[in-house]
Amino acid sequence: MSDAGADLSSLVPADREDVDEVTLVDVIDRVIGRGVVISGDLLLGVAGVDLVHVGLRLVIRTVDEPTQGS
Amino acid sequence: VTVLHAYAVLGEGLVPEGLRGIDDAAVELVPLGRLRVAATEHASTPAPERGSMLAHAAVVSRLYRCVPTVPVRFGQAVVEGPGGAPGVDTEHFEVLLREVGGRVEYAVRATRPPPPVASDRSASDGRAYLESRREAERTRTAYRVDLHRRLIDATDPLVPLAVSTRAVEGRAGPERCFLVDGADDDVFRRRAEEVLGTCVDLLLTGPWPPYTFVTTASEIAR
Repeated sequence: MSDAGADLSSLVPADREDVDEVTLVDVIDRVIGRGVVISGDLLLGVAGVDLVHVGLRLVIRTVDEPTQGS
Repeated sequence: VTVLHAYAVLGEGLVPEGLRGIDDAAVELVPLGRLRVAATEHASTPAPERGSMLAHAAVVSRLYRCVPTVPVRFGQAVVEGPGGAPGVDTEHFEVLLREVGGRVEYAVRATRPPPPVASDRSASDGRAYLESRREAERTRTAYRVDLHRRLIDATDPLVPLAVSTRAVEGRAGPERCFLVDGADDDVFRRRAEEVLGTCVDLLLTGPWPPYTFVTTASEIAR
């Protein structure tokens, strides 16, 4: 698993003095509890290639809570 | 099967180069009508583990500072599947981009711990036990109402500085979220720190990507 972004300070501006108070739960709350939910069928092209009209179905994975140990 | 893990839907603008996401995978820009989806390619759907979720958050955080961004909730994966050639409906995303593009989210969270609620397990009979349960529920409800009122009252002076506000029941407590124009970011933060200066039970967090303001009201209330 990548550690990219694992540092909470990377998620808030460097000039904030209260980074320690920005708890993991605030980040997780937004990442898995908020944000737009994509639904339905969309046409997506592969980057760098002409738009390919291939039916792509979005699979919505339900994420209620972090897995144990996460 | 290749899985594309989606981070955000993007409007026009230059995206930082060399952006990497979950499992250090390169972030690709996948066309979506006139828009783009920032995504990384994986052999299987990324699990909701701490490192993955923080990597997701970090990518969205980098993007929204540079380009109009609609954050996508973690767990939205795109896999190739059967189907014809459905039309591209990007109108919903375009509306959201107009609403949140160039804007940031702040939140004020109530941090006061709930009062201890005694439930009389030693009650002599079932009626007394149920009565103690009812009383405990009344105490919890009164606490929630009081905390919400405190949050609203304390943060009302910030409302004129925001484009929009939302009350959310977060995992760590009730929040009042503010959508703020990027140009007013510093002004809002300074005012918020001034207003909340003496409120030890209220915590200002942000700026965040506008996660809360691209979420439907019914999902927020869930």
